[in-house]
Amino acid sequence: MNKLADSTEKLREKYLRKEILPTIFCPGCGNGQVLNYVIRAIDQLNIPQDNLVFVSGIGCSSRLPAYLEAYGIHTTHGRAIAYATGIKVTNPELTVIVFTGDGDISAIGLNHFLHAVRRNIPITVICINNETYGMTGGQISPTTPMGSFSTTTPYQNIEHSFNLSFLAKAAGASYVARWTTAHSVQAIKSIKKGLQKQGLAFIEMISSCPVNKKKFGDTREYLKYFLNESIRYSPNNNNNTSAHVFKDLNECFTAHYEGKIIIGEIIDLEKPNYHHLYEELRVRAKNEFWERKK
Amino acid sequence: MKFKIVEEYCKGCGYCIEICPKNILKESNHLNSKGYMLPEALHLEECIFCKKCELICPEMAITIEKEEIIA
Amino acid sequence: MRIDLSRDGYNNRKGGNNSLKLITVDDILEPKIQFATGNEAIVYGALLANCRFYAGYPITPATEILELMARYLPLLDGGYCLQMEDEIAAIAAIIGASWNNYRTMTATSGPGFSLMQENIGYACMTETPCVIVNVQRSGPSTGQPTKPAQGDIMEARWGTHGDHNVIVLYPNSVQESLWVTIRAFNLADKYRVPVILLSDAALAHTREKLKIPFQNDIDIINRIPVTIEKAKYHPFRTGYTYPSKVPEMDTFGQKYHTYLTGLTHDWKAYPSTDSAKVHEQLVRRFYEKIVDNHSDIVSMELKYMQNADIVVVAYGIASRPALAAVEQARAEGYKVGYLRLITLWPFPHDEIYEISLDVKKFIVVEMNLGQIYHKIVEYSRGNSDVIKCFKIGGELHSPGEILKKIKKR
Repeated sequence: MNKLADSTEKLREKYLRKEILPTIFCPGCGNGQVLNYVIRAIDQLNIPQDNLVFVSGIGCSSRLPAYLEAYGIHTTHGRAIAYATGIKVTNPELTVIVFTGDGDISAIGLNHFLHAVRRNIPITVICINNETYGMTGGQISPTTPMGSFSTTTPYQNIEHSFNLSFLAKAAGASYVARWTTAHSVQAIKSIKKGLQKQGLAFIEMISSCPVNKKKFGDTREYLKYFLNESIRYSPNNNNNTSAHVFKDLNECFTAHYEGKIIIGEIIDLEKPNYHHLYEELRVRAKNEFWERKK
Repeated sequence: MKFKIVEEYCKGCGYCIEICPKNILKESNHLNSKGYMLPEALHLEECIFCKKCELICPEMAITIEKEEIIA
Repeated sequence: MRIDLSRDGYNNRKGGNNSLKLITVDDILEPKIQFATGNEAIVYGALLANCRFYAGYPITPATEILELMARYLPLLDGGYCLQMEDEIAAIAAIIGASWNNYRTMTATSGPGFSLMQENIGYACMTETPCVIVNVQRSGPSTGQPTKPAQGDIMEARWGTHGDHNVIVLYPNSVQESLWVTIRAFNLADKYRVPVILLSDAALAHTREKLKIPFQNDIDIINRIPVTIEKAKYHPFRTGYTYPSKVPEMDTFGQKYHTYLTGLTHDWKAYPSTDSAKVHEQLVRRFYEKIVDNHSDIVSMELKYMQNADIVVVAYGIASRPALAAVEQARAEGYKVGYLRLITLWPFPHDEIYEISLDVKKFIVVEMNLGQIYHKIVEYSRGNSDVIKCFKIGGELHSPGEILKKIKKR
C-alpha cells in the first residue's frame, strides 16, 4: 500500500487527541505544520505508538506533545533534552522525539543541547525556530536577526544571531537538516531520516509566528517569503541538483546571502551512539570485576 | 476529486490557497463558528492530487479524496 | 528477591551481556562488614534498594557518591550512571528516567541543590519518585566547601516555588545512612514524591563500622503500576481502584500514553490552567497524600525522656555531641531528654506539641542560625521556653557547649 496516500482523516484518528482540538496555535502558526509532518513521518516508518515519547520544554512549540496520542512529557524551560537523555538512556527501545523552540534550545537550553550532541544520545531533536519568543509576546531569541525590532529591542537588536544547524554540525551531530515549514515533502523526508539515524538527529524547522512578526502583512505573504527567500545548501562538490554549492559554511554568512534562509541537509554521517559505547563499557567493567575477584 | 475540510479546525490561514500549484482553492464567503474564513475548491477537475494542501495545513483539516476509476 | 519483575527485560536487551556472568548487588557489596564513610553507605543503600540510574555532577563533599555509582552501576544489568554537564541536567535526567520504572538518584551539595530547585518542583507536580541527596556544606554561596553545616533545612522544604510537599530525611551515622537511603526510595515510590536525603560534610567523610545486609533482607516497597484497562485509565485520578491519594504510576513504552506536564492539570492530565477548582484539587491532593500519612512517614529517636523537664532537640551530625551532652547531664543528675529528628519534613508538629505540655525547656542544637528552631517555637505554642544552641563556621558543637546550655538557669 502506498503509505503516502494514507488519508489525513485516518492519521488524525490515530495520532491526535481529538478532545482537545482545535489546537491553541494561532492561524498560520508553523507548529501545526510540524505536527502534520511528524505524524506522517512516524506513520510511514511504522513506529509502534507505545514506544513514542515526545519530550518538550516551554513555549508554543513545546505544547505539541499534548495533542499526540502517545507518551508525552512537557518539562521545564530549556531542559527537555536533559530529560530526554535520562529517558532514552534507560530504555533504548523508545523512540524519543524532542520538540523545542529557538529560545528553549538556544538560550536557556543551549548547554543541554550541545552535550546531548556531544554524547551522541540517539534522540531526534526538532527545533521549531520562529526567531522569537512567541508565547511571551515577541521578545528576541538568540536566532532573531541582528537589527530586528521587538518588545525587548525597541532600538533594534544589536546581537548577532546563531545558526542552530551550523552549531549542531560544529558540535558533532550525526544528522542535521534545516527546512522551512513551507517545505513539506523535504521536512517529512528529513524527519524520517533523522528517526532512523543511530545517533542524534537535529531537524531545524524555520517556522512562522504571524502574530509577533508583523512585517509580513498576512500569513500568505509569510509562506511566500519562505518559498522565495530560501536557498538550498549542498555540501557536495559534485551535486547535480539545483542546490547551490557553498564553498564552505563560512560562505553562508557573507553579505551576499544576508536575509536568505539556508535550507538543506547540512550533515549526514553515522558514528557509534551512547548506547553502543555504554554496552562496550559494561563489558569492560564486568570483565574487570571478575578479574579482581579471582 | 473531493476536497474535504473539517470546518471547526480551520483557522483561515490561507496556506492551502497559496500552495496549490493549480490555483484551485480560494477564499469562500463561509465563516466557521469561530469566525474564520474557510477555503473552497473551484475547478476540482484540474486537481492533480499532489496533496500539497493536505501537507501544508497546520490543522490537518484537509483531506483530498480521489474517486477511484475501476477499469 | 523482592525485585520488581519488569527488570527481567534487561537480560534480553540487544547488546546485553548474556555471555558474561550476572553480577548481583550482593557480589559487589563485599565484605559485609566495612569501615565505611557516610557517602559510601548512601551508595550501598541505594544499590540495595534497586537504584539503577544515577546522574550527577561533581561537587564537594558529594563527589564520591557519583564516583562510586560510576564504578558500580555498569556492573548491574540495566544500570546506567552519567556525569551530566550541570546539576540541572542531573535532576532532569533522573526525573525522566524514573518514568521508565527506574529507581533514580542524584547527589549534590548547597550550590547544586539550589540549581535543582525548579525541577524538584516539576517532580512534585508530576508526582515522580526520585531521591535527591544534599550533602550539606557551609554556605551561603561557595562558602566552606569542605566543612559541615545544616543550613539547607528550610531550603529542602521550601526551595522550590509554589505549594508543594516533599519528604526530607537526615541520618546521623554511617550505619543509619544506609538504612535511611533504602527508606528514602521506598517513601519516594510509595507516595510518588521527590525525597530529599540530607547529609553533611562530616557524616559524608567520617568512617564508622558498617554492616551491610543481603538484598534478600531488605524490604522494597515499589510504586504501584497501572493495571486497569486503557479506556478507563486517567493518569491523575485516585481512589478508584483502591483507597489512596496516590495515583498508580505508568511506565513509558506501554499502552496508556500518559501525558505529563508541569502546568496545572486535571485528572485526565490535560492542562487546565483556567480552573481554580482543578488547581486546588490537584495541589491539595499533593499536600494531603503526605499529611494524611504523617505517622507512616515521620520518625524520630527519643532517649532519656522519662521525667525530663528539659529536652535537647537535634538532628544529623549535631545530634552526636548533643547525645553526649545529654548523657553527661543525666549522669550529673539533670532531668534532660534527647529528641532526634530523623524525618525533618513533614515536621512532627503534634509530637512536639505533646512533649511541650510536660517540658519546661527545649534546647535546639543546630549547625545554622536557626531553622528547625522556629518550628519548635511554633509547635510548642508557648508551653515551653525554646533555647537557641546554634553554631556555624564548620566546627561541630562540643558536648561541653551544649552541656553549658543545659545547666544554665
